[in-house]
Amino acid sequence: MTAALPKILTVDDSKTVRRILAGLFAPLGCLICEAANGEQGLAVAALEKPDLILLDYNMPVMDGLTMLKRLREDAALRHTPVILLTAEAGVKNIAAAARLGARDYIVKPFQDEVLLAKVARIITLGPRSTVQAANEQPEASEGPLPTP
Amino acid sequence: MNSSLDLDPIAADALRDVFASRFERQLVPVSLDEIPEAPGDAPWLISTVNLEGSQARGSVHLQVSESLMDLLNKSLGDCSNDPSERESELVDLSGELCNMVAGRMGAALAAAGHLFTLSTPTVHRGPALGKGADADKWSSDTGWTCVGGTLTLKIRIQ
Repeated sequence: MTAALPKILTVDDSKTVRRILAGLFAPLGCLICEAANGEQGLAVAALEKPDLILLDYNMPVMDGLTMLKRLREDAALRHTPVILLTAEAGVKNIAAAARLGARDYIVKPFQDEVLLAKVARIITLGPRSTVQAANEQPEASEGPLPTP
Repeated sequence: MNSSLDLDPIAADALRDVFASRFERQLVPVSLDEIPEAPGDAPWLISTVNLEGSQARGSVHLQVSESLMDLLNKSLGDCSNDPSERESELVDLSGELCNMVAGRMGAALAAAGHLFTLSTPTVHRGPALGKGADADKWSSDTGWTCVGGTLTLKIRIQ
Protein backbone atom coordinates (compact mmCIF):
# COMPACT_ATOMS: atom_id res chain seq x y z
CA MET A 1 0.00 0.00 0.00
CA THR A 2 1.30 3.44 -0.88
CA ALA A 3 0.92 6.25 1.63
CA ALA A 4 -0.79 9.41 0.36
CA LEU A 5 1.57 12.21 -0.48
CA PRO A 6 1.60 14.98 2.12
CA LYS A 7 -0.11 18.15 0.98
CA ILE A 8 1.25 21.58 1.90
CA LEU A 9 -0.69 24.81 1.48
CA THR A 10 1.56 27.86 1.12
CA VAL A 11 -0.12 31.20 1.85
CA ASP A 12 2.02 34.22 1.01
CA ASP A 13 1.38 37.37 -0.99
CA SER A 14 4.84 37.07 -2.55
CA LYS A 15 4.71 34.83 -5.59
CA THR A 16 8.49 34.49 -5.32
CA VAL A 17 8.18 33.00 -1.83
CA ARG A 18 5.43 30.64 -2.98
CA ARG A 19 7.57 29.52 -5.91
CA ILE A 20 10.59 29.00 -3.66
CA LEU A 21 8.51 26.93 -1.24
CA ALA A 22 7.07 24.87 -4.10
CA GLY A 23 10.58 24.34 -5.47
CA LEU A 24 11.73 23.23 -2.03
CA PHE A 25 8.96 20.79 -1.12
CA ALA A 26 7.58 19.44 -4.41
CA PRO A 27 10.80 17.51 -5.17
CA LEU A 28 10.50 15.94 -1.70
CA GLY A 29 7.26 14.22 -2.54
CA CYS A 30 4.83 16.90 -1.35
CA LEU A 31 1.77 18.15 -3.16
CA ILE A 32 1.69 21.92 -3.12
CA CYS A 33 -1.32 24.22 -3.25
CA GLU A 34 -1.07 28.00 -3.00
CA ALA A 35 -2.94 31.09 -1.95
CA ALA A 36 -1.97 34.78 -2.05
CA ASN A 37 -3.78 35.93 1.12
CA GLY A 38 -5.67 34.62 4.12
CA GLU A 39 -9.06 34.76 2.47
CA GLN A 40 -7.89 32.68 -0.48
CA GLY A 41 -6.03 30.48 1.97
CA LEU A 42 -9.21 29.60 3.86
CA ALA A 43 -10.97 28.71 0.62
CA VAL A 44 -8.11 26.55 -0.62
CA ALA A 45 -7.72 24.89 2.79
CA ALA A 46 -11.42 23.99 2.85
CA LEU A 47 -11.11 22.48 -0.61
CA GLU A 48 -7.74 20.76 -0.36
CA LYS A 49 -7.58 19.74 3.33
CA PRO A 50 -3.79 20.21 3.53
CA ASP A 51 -1.61 18.32 6.00
CA LEU A 52 0.33 21.48 6.78
CA ILE A 53 -0.07 25.19 6.14
CA LEU A 54 2.92 27.51 5.73
CA LEU A 55 1.35 30.85 6.51
CA ASP A 56 2.77 34.31 5.98
CA TYR A 57 1.94 36.80 8.72
CA ASN A 58 1.71 40.08 6.84
CA MET A 59 -0.60 39.94 3.81
CA PRO A 60 -3.22 42.15 2.19
CA VAL A 61 -6.96 41.31 2.29
CA MET A 62 -6.59 38.97 5.27
CA ASP A 63 -3.43 38.61 7.36
CA GLY A 64 -2.03 35.34 8.65
CA LEU A 65 -3.20 35.78 12.23
CA THR A 66 -6.80 36.36 11.14
CA MET A 67 -6.66 33.33 8.87
CA LEU A 68 -5.27 31.27 11.74
CA LYS A 69 -8.11 32.40 14.00
CA ARG A 70 -10.67 31.50 11.33
CA LEU A 71 -9.04 28.11 10.83
CA ARG A 72 -9.39 27.34 14.52
CA GLU A 73 -13.09 28.21 14.35
CA ASP A 74 -13.63 25.72 11.54
CA ALA A 75 -14.42 22.25 12.83
CA ALA A 76 -12.96 20.60 9.72
CA LEU A 77 -9.68 22.56 9.74
CA ARG A 78 -9.00 23.42 13.36
CA HIS A 79 -6.41 20.68 13.81
CA THR A 80 -4.43 21.47 10.65
CA PRO A 81 -0.82 22.19 11.68
CA VAL A 82 0.36 25.70 10.84
CA ILE A 83 3.88 27.11 10.66
CA LEU A 84 3.89 30.88 10.63
CA LEU A 85 6.34 32.62 8.30
CA THR A 86 6.99 36.06 9.62
CA ALA A 87 9.26 38.97 8.87
CA GLU A 88 11.35 40.13 11.79
CA ALA A 89 8.88 42.93 12.49
CA GLY A 90 6.15 40.35 13.05
CA VAL A 91 7.95 38.41 15.77
CA LYS A 92 6.08 40.31 18.49
CA ASN A 93 2.91 38.61 17.25
CA ILE A 94 4.29 35.14 17.81
CA ALA A 95 2.63 34.89 21.22
CA ALA A 96 -0.73 35.58 19.64
CA ALA A 97 -0.03 32.93 17.00
CA ALA A 98 0.87 30.45 19.75
CA ARG A 99 -2.38 31.15 21.56
CA LEU A 100 -4.19 30.39 18.31
CA GLY A 101 -2.39 27.07 18.03
CA ALA A 102 0.36 27.75 15.49
CA ARG A 103 2.73 24.79 15.73
CA ASP A 104 5.90 26.71 15.00
CA TYR A 105 7.24 29.85 13.36
CA ILE A 106 10.15 30.89 11.21
CA VAL A 107 11.56 34.32 10.53
CA LYS A 108 11.87 35.38 6.89
CA PRO A 109 14.13 35.38 5.00
CA PHE A 110 14.41 31.76 6.07
CA GLN A 111 17.21 29.24 5.63
CA ASP A 112 15.96 26.19 3.73
CA GLU A 113 17.54 23.76 6.19
CA VAL A 114 15.78 25.31 9.17
CA LEU A 115 12.41 25.25 7.44
CA LEU A 116 12.93 21.66 6.28
CA ALA A 117 13.72 20.59 9.83
CA LYS A 118 10.59 22.24 11.19
CA VAL A 119 8.36 20.79 8.48
CA ALA A 120 9.90 17.31 8.91
CA ARG A 121 8.72 17.35 12.53
CA ILE A 122 5.15 17.56 11.29
CA ILE A 123 4.92 15.65 8.01
CA THR A 124 7.01 12.95 6.40
CA LEU A 125 9.25 14.28 3.67
CA GLY A 126 11.25 12.43 1.05
CA PRO A 127 14.58 10.76 1.92
CA ARG A 128 16.84 13.67 1.05
CA SER A 129 15.21 16.14 3.39
CA THR A 130 14.69 13.55 6.14
CA VAL A 131 18.42 12.99 6.34
CA GLN A 132 19.13 16.68 5.99
CA ALA A 133 16.57 17.66 8.61
CA ALA A 134 17.86 15.11 11.12
CA ASN A 135 21.29 16.66 10.88
CA GLU A 136 20.11 20.22 11.36
CA GLN A 137 19.50 21.98 14.63
CA PRO A 138 16.83 24.69 14.71
CA GLU A 139 18.01 28.25 15.22
CA ALA A 140 18.05 29.28 18.85
CA SER A 141 15.80 32.26 18.18
CA GLU A 142 13.08 30.12 16.71
CA GLY A 143 11.38 27.07 18.06
CA PRO A 144 8.21 25.11 18.45
CA LEU A 145 5.42 27.03 20.04
CA PRO A 146 3.80 25.75 23.23
CA THR A 147 0.58 23.84 22.79
CA PRO A 148 -2.25 26.18 23.75
CA MET B 1 30.93 49.82 18.42
CA ASN B 2 33.62 48.34 16.22
CA SER B 3 34.77 51.21 14.00
CA SER B 4 36.74 49.02 11.61
CA LEU B 5 34.02 46.62 10.54
CA ASP B 6 34.74 45.40 7.01
CA LEU B 7 31.43 45.02 5.24
CA ASP B 8 32.85 43.73 1.93
CA PRO B 9 33.36 40.08 2.96
CA ILE B 10 30.04 40.01 4.81
CA ALA B 11 28.27 41.35 1.73
CA ALA B 12 30.11 39.00 -0.61
CA ASP B 13 29.34 35.92 1.48
CA ALA B 14 25.65 36.81 1.73
CA LEU B 15 25.29 37.52 -1.97
CA ARG B 16 27.22 34.47 -3.10
CA ASP B 17 25.27 32.23 -0.72
CA VAL B 18 21.92 33.45 -2.04
CA PHE B 19 22.89 33.06 -5.70
CA ALA B 20 24.47 29.64 -5.18
CA SER B 21 21.76 28.14 -2.99
CA ARG B 22 18.71 29.70 -4.61
CA PHE B 23 19.74 29.93 -8.26
CA GLU B 24 22.79 27.65 -8.57
CA ARG B 25 24.79 30.53 -10.01
CA GLN B 26 28.37 31.41 -9.22
CA LEU B 27 29.14 35.12 -8.91
CA VAL B 28 32.46 36.59 -9.99
CA PRO B 29 33.57 39.98 -8.63
CA VAL B 30 34.12 42.75 -11.18
CA SER B 31 35.34 46.31 -10.88
CA LEU B 32 32.54 48.84 -10.48
CA ASP B 33 34.07 50.62 -13.50
CA GLU B 34 32.97 47.65 -15.58
CA ILE B 35 29.34 48.05 -14.54
CA PRO B 36 27.52 50.20 -17.12
CA GLU B 37 25.51 53.28 -16.13
CA ALA B 38 22.42 51.64 -17.63
CA PRO B 39 22.30 47.97 -18.63
CA GLY B 40 21.04 47.72 -22.24
CA ASP B 41 17.69 49.34 -22.94
CA ALA B 42 16.18 48.98 -19.50
CA PRO B 43 17.08 50.88 -16.32
CA TRP B 44 18.36 48.99 -13.30
CA LEU B 45 16.00 47.19 -10.99
CA ILE B 46 17.03 48.49 -7.58
CA SER B 47 15.72 46.93 -4.39
CA THR B 48 16.34 48.33 -0.93
CA VAL B 49 16.06 46.96 2.60
CA ASN B 50 16.60 49.39 5.45
CA LEU B 51 18.52 48.42 8.57
CA GLU B 52 17.54 49.92 11.91
CA GLY B 53 19.74 49.44 14.96
CA SER B 54 19.96 51.09 18.37
CA GLN B 55 23.33 52.69 17.55
CA ALA B 56 23.28 52.84 13.77
CA ARG B 57 21.01 52.68 10.78
CA GLY B 58 21.60 51.92 7.17
CA SER B 59 20.43 50.29 4.00
CA VAL B 60 21.20 47.46 1.61
CA HIS B 61 20.74 48.22 -2.10
CA LEU B 62 20.80 45.50 -4.71
CA GLN B 63 20.98 46.71 -8.30
CA VAL B 64 20.36 44.05 -10.95
CA SER B 65 20.03 44.23 -14.71
CA GLU B 66 16.58 43.39 -15.99
CA SER B 67 17.99 40.70 -18.30
CA LEU B 68 19.56 38.91 -15.34
CA MET B 69 16.44 39.30 -13.23
CA ASP B 70 14.45 37.81 -16.08
CA LEU B 71 16.73 34.76 -16.16
CA LEU B 72 16.53 34.36 -12.39
CA ASN B 73 12.76 34.62 -12.59
CA LYS B 74 12.58 31.90 -15.22
CA SER B 75 14.86 29.66 -13.20
CA LEU B 76 12.31 29.61 -10.37
CA GLY B 77 9.75 28.12 -12.76
CA ASP B 78 6.03 28.81 -12.97
CA CYS B 79 6.59 32.25 -14.49
CA SER B 80 3.97 34.12 -16.45
CA ASN B 81 3.90 35.03 -20.15
CA ASP B 82 1.58 37.95 -19.46
CA PRO B 83 3.66 41.18 -19.61
CA SER B 84 2.00 42.86 -16.61
CA GLU B 85 2.31 39.72 -14.49
CA ARG B 86 5.88 39.31 -15.59
CA GLU B 87 6.58 42.88 -14.43
CA SER B 88 5.03 42.11 -11.08
CA GLU B 89 7.08 38.90 -10.81
CA LEU B 90 10.33 40.78 -11.49
CA VAL B 91 9.55 43.44 -8.89
CA ASP B 92 8.54 40.79 -6.34
CA LEU B 93 11.63 38.70 -7.04
CA SER B 94 13.88 41.74 -6.88
CA GLY B 95 12.53 42.66 -3.44
CA GLU B 96 12.77 39.11 -2.11
CA LEU B 97 16.30 38.78 -3.45
CA CYS B 98 17.38 41.88 -1.55
CA ASN B 99 15.52 40.58 1.50
CA MET B 100 17.44 37.29 1.35
CA VAL B 101 20.79 39.06 1.04
CA ALA B 102 19.96 41.56 3.79
CA GLY B 103 18.73 38.74 6.03
CA ARG B 104 21.99 36.85 5.70
CA MET B 105 23.95 40.05 6.25
CA GLY B 106 21.80 40.84 9.27
CA ALA B 107 22.66 37.45 10.78
CA ALA B 108 26.39 38.01 10.16
CA LEU B 109 26.25 41.52 11.61
CA ALA B 110 24.35 40.21 14.64
CA ALA B 111 27.08 37.61 15.16
CA ALA B 112 29.56 40.51 15.14
CA GLY B 113 27.55 42.28 17.82
CA HIS B 114 25.54 44.68 15.64
CA LEU B 115 21.83 44.05 15.84
CA PHE B 116 19.61 45.50 13.13
CA THR B 117 15.94 45.17 12.36
CA LEU B 118 15.21 44.77 8.66
CA SER B 119 12.47 46.67 6.84
CA THR B 120 10.31 45.14 4.15
CA PRO B 121 11.95 45.62 0.75
CA THR B 122 11.08 48.40 -1.69
CA VAL B 123 11.83 48.25 -5.42
CA HIS B 124 12.23 50.89 -8.11
CA ARG B 125 13.77 51.27 -11.55
CA GLY B 126 16.41 53.91 -12.06
CA PRO B 127 19.96 54.90 -12.94
CA ALA B 128 22.97 53.32 -11.24
CA LEU B 129 23.42 54.16 -7.57
CA GLY B 130 26.33 56.40 -6.57
CA LYS B 131 29.24 55.67 -4.27
CA GLY B 132 28.95 55.83 -0.49
CA ALA B 133 29.20 59.24 1.17
CA ASP B 134 31.90 60.29 3.62
CA ALA B 135 29.24 60.52 6.31
CA ASP B 136 28.74 56.77 6.17
CA LYS B 137 30.27 55.01 9.15
CA TRP B 138 30.65 51.85 7.11
CA SER B 139 29.95 51.27 3.45
CA SER B 140 30.53 48.63 0.83
CA ASP B 141 30.24 48.90 -2.96
CA THR B 142 30.86 45.72 -4.92
CA GLY B 143 30.22 44.72 -8.52
CA TRP B 144 29.44 41.20 -9.64
CA THR B 145 28.82 39.25 -12.79
CA CYS B 146 27.39 35.84 -13.54
CA VAL B 147 25.97 34.07 -16.55
CA GLY B 148 23.22 36.38 -17.79
CA GLY B 149 24.19 39.78 -16.46
CA THR B 150 25.68 42.07 -13.86
CA LEU B 151 24.68 43.41 -10.48
CA THR B 152 25.98 45.60 -7.70
CA LEU B 153 25.49 45.43 -3.97
CA LYS B 154 25.79 48.61 -1.94
CA ILE B 155 25.57 48.85 1.81
CA ARG B 156 25.43 52.09 3.75
CA ILE B 157 25.53 52.31 7.53
CA GLN B 158 25.62 55.54 9.50
